[in-house]
Amino acid sequence: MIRYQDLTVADVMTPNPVCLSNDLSVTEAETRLLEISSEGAPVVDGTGRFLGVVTLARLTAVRHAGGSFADAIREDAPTCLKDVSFGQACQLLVRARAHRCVVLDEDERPLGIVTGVDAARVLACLEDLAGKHKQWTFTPLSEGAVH
Amino acid sequence: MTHQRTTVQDWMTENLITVAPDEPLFAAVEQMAEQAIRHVLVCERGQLRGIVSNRDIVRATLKNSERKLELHGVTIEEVMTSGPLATVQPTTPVEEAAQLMVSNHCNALPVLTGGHPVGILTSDDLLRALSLRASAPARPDV
Repeated sequence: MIRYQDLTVADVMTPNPVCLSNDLSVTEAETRLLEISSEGAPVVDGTGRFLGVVTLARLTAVRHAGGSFADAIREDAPTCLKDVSFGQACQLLVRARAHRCVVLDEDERPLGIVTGVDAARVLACLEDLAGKHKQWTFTPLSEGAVH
Repeated sequence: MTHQRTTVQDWMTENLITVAPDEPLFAAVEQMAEQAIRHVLVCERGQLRGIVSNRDIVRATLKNSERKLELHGVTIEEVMTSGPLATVQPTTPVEEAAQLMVSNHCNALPVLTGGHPVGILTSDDLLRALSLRASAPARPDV
């Protein structure tokens, strides 16, 4: 049986997240995020290297201030490696007041993403575990699942 | 059951930011920017009418991008999510609220007492709940 304390980011993350290229316009980025039903996504350069995170909220702010897509990128967005515990990733997000933590490989390329939606999924499984005394049945999201 | 059970009232935001359905959408945009929040409850005479998210706002912005003032003339009622909303009570176990969020594919649940909104629970609040559990000493089967 998997204990909550043993869960790693790799167990919970959505693998292979949809990433936005850094040469998009604000409108293109907004349209893409709505298409994938996501409130935010990692931004990568032409080689796939992580540059930061962009969110609908930041795009809205930039749009109304007349800024560019680059202005909407949060470069200090929280990131972690896949073997970090899920609890630590939650703490990281809370401290950073961020909604998503991007999981990077050694070459700083996005491997996955962890958000509050994952916290809901883990907590929902804890309810199953407590109420029905059954084994942990947490199922990772499939690749490209929306957040 | 051995893990720490908490209820929605332990994690919800009680200082509710609300807007009225006939207000301009900009009222919600301003509230979200000022308060750094992603959802605003829409209330009328103390009753919950709907919820508006930054996703709704961006959708409306793109729809109206031909206009000079992009959200000019758009009211909250036109873009909010209404109809039967998933809601919880302050005494609902937080794990049950999490299940409701997952099954309804939403990031926020209005918290009602006697039909009146008293708070909002978001997926960020659930992150805080799990963050605290990560700090707690390990238990055998949690």
